Amino acid sequence: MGRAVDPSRAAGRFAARPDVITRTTSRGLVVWPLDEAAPMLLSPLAALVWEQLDVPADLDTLATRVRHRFEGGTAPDRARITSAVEHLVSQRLLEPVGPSSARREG
Amino acid sequence: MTATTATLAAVTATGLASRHPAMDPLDPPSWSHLCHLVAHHRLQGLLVAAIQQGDIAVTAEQADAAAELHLEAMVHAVGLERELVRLSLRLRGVGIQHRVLKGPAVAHTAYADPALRVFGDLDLLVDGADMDRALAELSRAGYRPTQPRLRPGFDAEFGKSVSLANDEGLEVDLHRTLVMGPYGLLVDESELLAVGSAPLRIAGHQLPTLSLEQLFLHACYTAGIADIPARWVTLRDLAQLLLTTDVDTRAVRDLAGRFDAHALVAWAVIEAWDRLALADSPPLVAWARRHQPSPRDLRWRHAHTTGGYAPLAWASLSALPRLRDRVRFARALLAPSRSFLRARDETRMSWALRGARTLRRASGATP
Repeated sequence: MGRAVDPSRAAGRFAARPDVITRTTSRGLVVWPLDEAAPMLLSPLAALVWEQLDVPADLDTLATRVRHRFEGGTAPDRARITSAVEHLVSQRLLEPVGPSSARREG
Repeated sequence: MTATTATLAAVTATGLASRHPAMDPLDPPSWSHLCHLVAHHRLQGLLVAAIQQGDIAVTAEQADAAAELHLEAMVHAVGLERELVRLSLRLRGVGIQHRVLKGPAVAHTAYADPALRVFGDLDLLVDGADMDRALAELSRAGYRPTQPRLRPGFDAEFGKSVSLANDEGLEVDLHRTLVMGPYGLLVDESELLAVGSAPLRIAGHQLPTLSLEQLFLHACYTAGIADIPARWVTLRDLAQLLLTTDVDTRAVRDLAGRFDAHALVAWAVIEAWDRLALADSPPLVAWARRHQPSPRDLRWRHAHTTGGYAPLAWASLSALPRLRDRVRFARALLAPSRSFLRARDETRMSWALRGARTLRRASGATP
């Protein structure tokens, strides 16, 4: 935690933190990690990304999962998904898991 | 039935097979009244679901207001659950056996999406013998009783629960039993604590709660006598548990029989089915309609509906089998602690006189 991660370069996998309380609303996903002082409201895309990472995945797998959720609609492009991942990592809602070749190289 | 009440009923029954007709949009004053009632009855999640499913028609502004109400309720709910995890782990850490009751327990075990079930506080059950230790532990966690206690030791032996709050305004009811009054005295809390719990997992933590049958029975106590008329959300809980979970209704009746609570189950189930106008009729509903309450059940229900502490206390005396318990119970009620009286702006004399007046009124109106 606290270590800078660049998901656009990272080849590692990400996972949603398990110690988070959530509620789905039409305004977005309300999330409150146990050790945080305040809740957060995630945008629909960030919520979708977070929910898909209930099972850890790398960015390619995540993009496929997100695309499947749109069922013929316009799925968000890779850059938007990466941006959502970055946001969630910065909020400490996602954790990098497993070895990341980008970080090993760095 | 007013349009507001009919809409409230349709909201409560949303997603279940109900004979309530789809409702047209309410005018602004009626909508405002509905929003007030929705918050009181903890129906914000079901309101949004009813709008999404077309069970009630609303204007765009009303849909927006409903979404805001729900968001506000969900922010409060996740805050309460965060606190619940903290408190449950704390009690577990000092070896106090406990069970999570009501809102969070039902939200996660009976509803497909916990966002449908709103709650405003936390309820925990402990054994009476652990009550003082649990209160001390909650005190260390920042919680204080909201009112002075009647007498030292009363809550652990005869009371229903102690209400506590912390500096942030979060409220916890620490229960010894499921309901106030005579029926509550017949509940064996050690049996509730002995049975394995329904799966309640929050933020990666497995928390202890009641079994589905016990949760259902608790909802019957709440709808049958604790809140008359019952809150809509409690009626929905009953229908939700009965129609969408594997609750074993024979086990419910057996459990209710051991606690002398068959009449409560019948009253609660009938009220839920009639007010929600539910189309499905499981065998328990037919049993409830056939059930004949005893004269004692009618007297005790009357004590609950009369209002005031004295009729309930009088009825409670008859639920205590041992003379020495009756004496201790009566002494606590007749001579409460000074802090208890001071908080109510009463003296011992005014307290006794008021109790006698309420009792006289209640006995004069006994059915």
